[in-house]
Amino acid sequence: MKLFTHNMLTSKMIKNVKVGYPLKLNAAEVKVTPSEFRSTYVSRMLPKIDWGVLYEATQSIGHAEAIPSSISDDYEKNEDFLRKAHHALFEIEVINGEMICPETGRKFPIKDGIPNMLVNEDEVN
Amino acid sequence: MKLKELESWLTRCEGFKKPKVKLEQYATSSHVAARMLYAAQENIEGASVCDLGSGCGILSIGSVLLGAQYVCGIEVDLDAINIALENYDEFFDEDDEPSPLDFINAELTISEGDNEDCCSRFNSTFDVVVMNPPFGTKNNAGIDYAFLQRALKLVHPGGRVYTLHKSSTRDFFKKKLTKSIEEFGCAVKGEVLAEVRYELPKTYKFHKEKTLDIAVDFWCFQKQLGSDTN
Repeated sequence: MKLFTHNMLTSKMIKNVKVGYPLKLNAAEVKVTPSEFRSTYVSRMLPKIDWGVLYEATQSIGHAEAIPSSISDDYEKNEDFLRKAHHALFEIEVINGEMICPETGRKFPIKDGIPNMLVNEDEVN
Repeated sequence: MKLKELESWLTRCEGFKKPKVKLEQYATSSHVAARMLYAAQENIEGASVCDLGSGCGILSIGSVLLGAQYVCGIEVDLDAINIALENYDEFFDEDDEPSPLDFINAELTISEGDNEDCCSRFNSTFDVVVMNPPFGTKNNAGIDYAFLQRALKLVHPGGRVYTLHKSSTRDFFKKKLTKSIEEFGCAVKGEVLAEVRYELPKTYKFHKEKTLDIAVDFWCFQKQLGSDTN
């Protein structure tokens, strides 16, 4: 599971959960796979990204040096920054671990790179 | 990529081992998948693609073959995801090959209107959704339309949804398009790009005939710019 995907997932579907975001990320196994860098794509995606959540995710899975703590103001023109963002979003992958709902503590396992976001009928609204 | 080349690659994808009736699982043939993806090709290259109800992954894998930057397959059935991953390994078996593909094992709240689900933050993110949703023929009437509604939320304004629906629902879909803002929460245009004969193999015991040949429309829907209410 890429950190881009983590940046998007929530536990909002659980009963009484107000925000369900961000999901706390614990990783037992992390892998880095290269992915083609296209600067225009990364700058197009950045407005959708919660940078603070991405930064926190890199910290929590042992890639503390991957990106700066705050987003660059001129990122569209800053290729070095875009490459780092690309690396964090699309190349660092959590293979095994879990995500935890910030409000209920409900755990969502990640196994073989696949996050399991399934919930039982009695857990949802 | 040429259509024939794409189709020949996609024939390597395996289908369901034990299809689940409840989920109305039937694999998308390489013939149909190749034609869908070929039509979407120019919008897939370098783009983000979601495969909603990704099943054995043929549309996800085809999107990767066509150079998508990020592909997200969302599927409720883990067994299907595992087949999709095996299929993927048929193409990309080296560990260090670029992999733009992520699968999420999740059930979206497609039939419950505005309820948020685990993927709601993805709304208005994707350039393209490619999907082969359930046709809604087994105690799940309307699920085909619900998939379309959810798909249209996932694409950004200007984004496209490439999808298959039974031709018998064409008039119903056309009617919905005339009041798209109230039906989908945004202005949507749609057209049938092709009618395909869809051969449902005798996957399930309740199918009496050996194969079931039905007419299916290949639709392209486009969410119109400046009409986003997500």
